[in-house]
Amino acid sequence: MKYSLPLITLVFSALPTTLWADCLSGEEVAQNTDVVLYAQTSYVNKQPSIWQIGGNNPFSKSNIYNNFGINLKGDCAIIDNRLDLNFSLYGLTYRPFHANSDFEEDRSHSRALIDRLSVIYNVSDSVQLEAGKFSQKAGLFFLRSPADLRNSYYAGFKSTRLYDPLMEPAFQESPWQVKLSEDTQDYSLSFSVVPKLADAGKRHLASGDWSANVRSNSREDYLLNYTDHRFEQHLPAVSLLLGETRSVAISDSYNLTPQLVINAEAAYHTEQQWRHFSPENAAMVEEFEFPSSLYSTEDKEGVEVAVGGQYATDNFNLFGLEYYYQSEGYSRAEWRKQTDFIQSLNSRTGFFFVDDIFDSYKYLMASEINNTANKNMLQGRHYLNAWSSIQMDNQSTLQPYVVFNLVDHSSVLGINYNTPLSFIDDQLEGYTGAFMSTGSSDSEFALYGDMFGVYLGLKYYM
Amino acid sequence: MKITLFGKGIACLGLLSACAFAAPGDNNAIDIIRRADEIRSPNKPFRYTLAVSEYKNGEEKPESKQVLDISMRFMKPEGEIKADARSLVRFIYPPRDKGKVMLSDWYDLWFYSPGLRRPVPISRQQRLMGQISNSDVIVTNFEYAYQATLQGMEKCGDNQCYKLALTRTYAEATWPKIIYYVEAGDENRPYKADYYSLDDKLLKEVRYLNYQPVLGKMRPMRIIVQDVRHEKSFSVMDYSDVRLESLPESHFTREHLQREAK
Repeated sequence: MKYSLPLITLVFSALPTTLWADCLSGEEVAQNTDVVLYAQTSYVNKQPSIWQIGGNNPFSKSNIYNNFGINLKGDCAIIDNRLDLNFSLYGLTYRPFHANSDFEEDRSHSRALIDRLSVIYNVSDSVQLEAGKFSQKAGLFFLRSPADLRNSYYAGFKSTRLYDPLMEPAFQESPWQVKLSEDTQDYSLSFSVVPKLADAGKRHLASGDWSANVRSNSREDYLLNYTDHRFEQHLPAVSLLLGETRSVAISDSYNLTPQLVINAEAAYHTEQQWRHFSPENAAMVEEFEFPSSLYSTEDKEGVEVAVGGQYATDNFNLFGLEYYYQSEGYSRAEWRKQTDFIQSLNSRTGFFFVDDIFDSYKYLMASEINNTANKNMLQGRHYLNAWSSIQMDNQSTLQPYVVFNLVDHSSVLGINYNTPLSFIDDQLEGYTGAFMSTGSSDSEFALYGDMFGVYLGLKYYM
Repeated sequence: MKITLFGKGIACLGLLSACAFAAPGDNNAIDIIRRADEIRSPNKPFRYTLAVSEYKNGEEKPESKQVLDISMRFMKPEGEIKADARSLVRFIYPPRDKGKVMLSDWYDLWFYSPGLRRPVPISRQQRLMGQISNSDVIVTNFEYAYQATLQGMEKCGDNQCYKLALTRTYAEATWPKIIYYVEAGDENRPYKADYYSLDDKLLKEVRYLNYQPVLGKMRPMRIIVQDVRHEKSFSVMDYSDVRLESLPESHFTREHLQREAK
């Protein structure tokens, strides 16, 4: 499978150059490419947390970030109705007003992301073959979908990002893969092969500082998905993941009425989906034996379940409520062991080299915990997510949301408002919003301190 | 968007449409309607661009505009080929609407945008913009969806028109009653359609204009929709870049909507 990428390149290069020339000629590119420019300013305030490095708070108490981005998105028909090229590329950069602390600093303040770069070949009227870099179809739930059997890592910066809600999928690194699919009116069947192109990332670094292939293609996976469209009110689907890990998921979307949809997903995994804190290894540290890692993934079976509802009004206002459970989430006692250990590492021993080692473990733990979230995984067991999308008369949209950890009662809440700025320019759109995470200092969503942020951004469609 | 959604009638979309079975009625009237339908739509899969402009209070400049890229897959039953009536609607202007897409499958209509997780069913009551409701953009195939009777002749512009009374055969057809004016002569060009409510009140007037040679026939490239409750306001639908196209069938599936919204 390691040869997949060169193979894809070979396929690209084997196409007649005349076809490429036609598809990628300047005129064709200009006609088929949408360019969007982003500019955003945000302010973030963080309260002190249980984390200390050298006895000090490792986070900036407050900072202002100026973010800029560009997205080039388009497609072209290499052969009409037979072979298409799709692409979506991002360039991102930011400038903090105050220098980032060590905990928050990224390897670089600028980043290029390939969200999509693929060719689609229509094998027949209903069969397609797609090869390249593109994301899997997302599950039914916004918070966490058990049917998302394969997850890539977050590709953005540590402390800031463009908060336009439509940007969120682009920040999850899409994998290089080959997908064969059959789509008919009755059913959809797809088989995807995701090759391993890199080894797992360095655990002490945030996923945003890994290479793109590490974020997306650090294991080999085979994914089979079947969705049945024959039922008038139900949309049953089953997914099977084979490879280094094995999982199966079933889902259904039930249209109780045309406006009210009940969604349900369940997944069974033969091993843990994310790296868990090991109290045994932590105990070794307290005995001044220093293991290379405090986290591991074990061969423990697990299940995930999500149920929820979505209501759409005639004006297309959407209201959603989701519940999520995972058996491998930390219990209250397991989570407490982790936070107790973080706090125990804050104690100064009087031996600078031991204190340095303790600080290094805290860097490692912070990265491990953060990277679990960066893989779109939650770390507790029970959650509730409520969200809405409200259409206003002036074609603007208001999107409030709130996520509760039902065990430790920490929460994340926010609101986004975006509106066309047609009085300035038809191509200009503005967005603004606020977000906060709150809870006790040893809770999941406030583990890095209670946080509050506001942002104001502009999007210009060129 | 002010939710720019079409209604279920999209199953019969575009310059034309398709809806399954011929309704009983006045044979002469049905022949006239069939010929008029053929003018509004080629009888093969095709694609076109539709610009919808909203004019308010007699102003010359449209207050808002929306552009759609529409592919139609209309297959009449023939031998082993099953009847098909599907369409794919991509939103291309304003730019913020790009990525939104709709699929009609007979009388079912699905909408998807990148902010959603799955396509959602939408109803034909939803308004597109201005005077335009879903069923206006999607011109119903009158032959299949309505029972017709010829009521006589009337002068329409410089010509004489057949005046036809249409009553819907299926509850899914948006308008309960239509008075349809079709030019007499060889081609039976649609001239005007008046849409009525269940209680027989005139709701909308639709005029077919700007006939041009397109795909072998003279076809209306502009449709003006006037909601009688808003006399000074009206909406204009301009058709362009009409061409034959045969997208793979897989593009007209709900699964594909999410790929189309890339």
